[in-house]
Amino acid sequence: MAYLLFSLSLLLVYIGLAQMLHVQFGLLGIPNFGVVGFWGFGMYFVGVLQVQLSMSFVDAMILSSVILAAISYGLGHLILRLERQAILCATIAFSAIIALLVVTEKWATMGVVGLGTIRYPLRVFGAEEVLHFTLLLVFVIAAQLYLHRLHGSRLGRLMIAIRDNEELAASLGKDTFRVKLHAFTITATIMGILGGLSAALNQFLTPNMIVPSITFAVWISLVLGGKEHALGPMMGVFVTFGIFDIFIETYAPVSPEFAVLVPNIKLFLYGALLVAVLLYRPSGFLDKDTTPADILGGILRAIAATLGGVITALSVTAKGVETLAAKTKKDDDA
Amino acid sequence: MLDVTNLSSGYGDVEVLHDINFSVESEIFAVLGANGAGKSTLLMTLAKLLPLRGGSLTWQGTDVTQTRAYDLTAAGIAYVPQEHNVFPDLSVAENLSLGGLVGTRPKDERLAEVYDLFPRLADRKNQFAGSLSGGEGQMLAVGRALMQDPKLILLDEPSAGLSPKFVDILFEKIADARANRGVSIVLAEQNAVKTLEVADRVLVLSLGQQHLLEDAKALDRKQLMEAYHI
Repeated sequence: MAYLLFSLSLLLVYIGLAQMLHVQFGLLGIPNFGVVGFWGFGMYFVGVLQVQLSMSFVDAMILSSVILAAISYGLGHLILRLERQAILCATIAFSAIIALLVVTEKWATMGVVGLGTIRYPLRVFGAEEVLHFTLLLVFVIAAQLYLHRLHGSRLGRLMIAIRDNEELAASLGKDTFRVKLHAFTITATIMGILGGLSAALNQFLTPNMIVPSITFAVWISLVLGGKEHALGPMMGVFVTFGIFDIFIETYAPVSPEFAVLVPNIKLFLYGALLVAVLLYRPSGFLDKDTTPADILGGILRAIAATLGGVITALSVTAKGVETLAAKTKKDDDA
Repeated sequence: MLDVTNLSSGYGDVEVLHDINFSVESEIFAVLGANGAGKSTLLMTLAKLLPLRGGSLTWQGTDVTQTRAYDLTAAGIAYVPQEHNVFPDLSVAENLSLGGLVGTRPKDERLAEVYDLFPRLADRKNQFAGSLSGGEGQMLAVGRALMQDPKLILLDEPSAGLSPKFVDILFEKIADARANRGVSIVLAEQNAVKTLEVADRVLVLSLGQQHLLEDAKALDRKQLMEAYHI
């Protein structure tokens, strides 16, 4: 149960990161490939302040967010006027610097030895994990509601206009650079807040948590789910992290002799799904004009297809077992 | 209204426009010239999407040489580029509503006026702009510019790539906007025949130089052919 709660909390963190990336890339076209850097900064900064300076979680989170907001604002000033390729490289470089600092600045981070123990922000004996999960859930739901509101708002339309054609958007009478800079600063800071919440979730931090695969996982979730749809990030994380990392890796009914193959099978299926989506639905599961009725229909079709597959598999297996039993009986009789 | 003095402009190390001088009053002011004459560069510079390399711009008595593009829009100058002039991932209505980010009159009133001028846009208001035909896209771009309640519209080759039928409709609408809404228009075009039908004055560019500035009615066909190197 505790492991499931931990996995689901991590799933919510991933959803939160994908939601922020949706604003940055899906709405504004800013290719932030340093997601893990912003998340990792928040995670380690909150951890260091708590462990080394005995600061409370809330104080550590506020200080970390203010500093990350200033860094993101400065970074945004430097890079958001550049070409997309340059932004991509600059954000990767930012995350690499954060990962390096975590290893080298041992006086604060404890380096490869690791940093712990970080306490939960809501401390009620025996219910810390549930409360932390609830906190993350509230966070993600609030962000989702805001995303839906943003999509229908004038600001959301202006963001899409900036993504589609920034030069033309500049002739609409609004400072497009300021819109990008503010949105980048706010979303990057929220990535850091999610990092701070992850610090409490992990409780013990090591440098190998800040790896590029986290950035890639968030990007793949966004691309699979649909980068232009408000529900795309959530859908993408449910499919990638939810189905592959939680369900298949942990709960798939696989006999022990095949358990060792599960990670490889998972990667194979993950890759096959990614290739199939990019080939047949390049804009992701949810297109920009996918309606709630389409989503419901899709879910029902997926359930029907899964049930159909399971029933077929069971009937084929039952038939195979019958045939085998008949053959065995025949052999025995002979 | 708009005074252009000794304007020069270009891209990177290349200077495209050299020493251009003219002023635009309450009129349709045409900019003619062959391919590469510098028409689009001139309009982008006037919209402040390209920096001036020399000279100055004055808008309604105020020096706007250093003003940014978005402030110029708010001051009443709308720009419609030749290509990529709509936001393809937004619907027709959303494209128009973005035009309403500036201006003080109620947005619904302005929207009704644009739909009145271009009924075809009203029929397609929920359609994505990226799925419109070339002519409908141009109508949408002009409609979005009108939503900004501008005093001056910079219109870059609106007839490019359109069928003759759409060109006729579009020029009719441009004349309509000028006559009924009092909007001044700087119209860069290659289609000299249609442009001269609606324009009051004409600036002819040739290889980035100011070749001729004349009343449209008084324009000598021979001079125009010289500028086009025909």
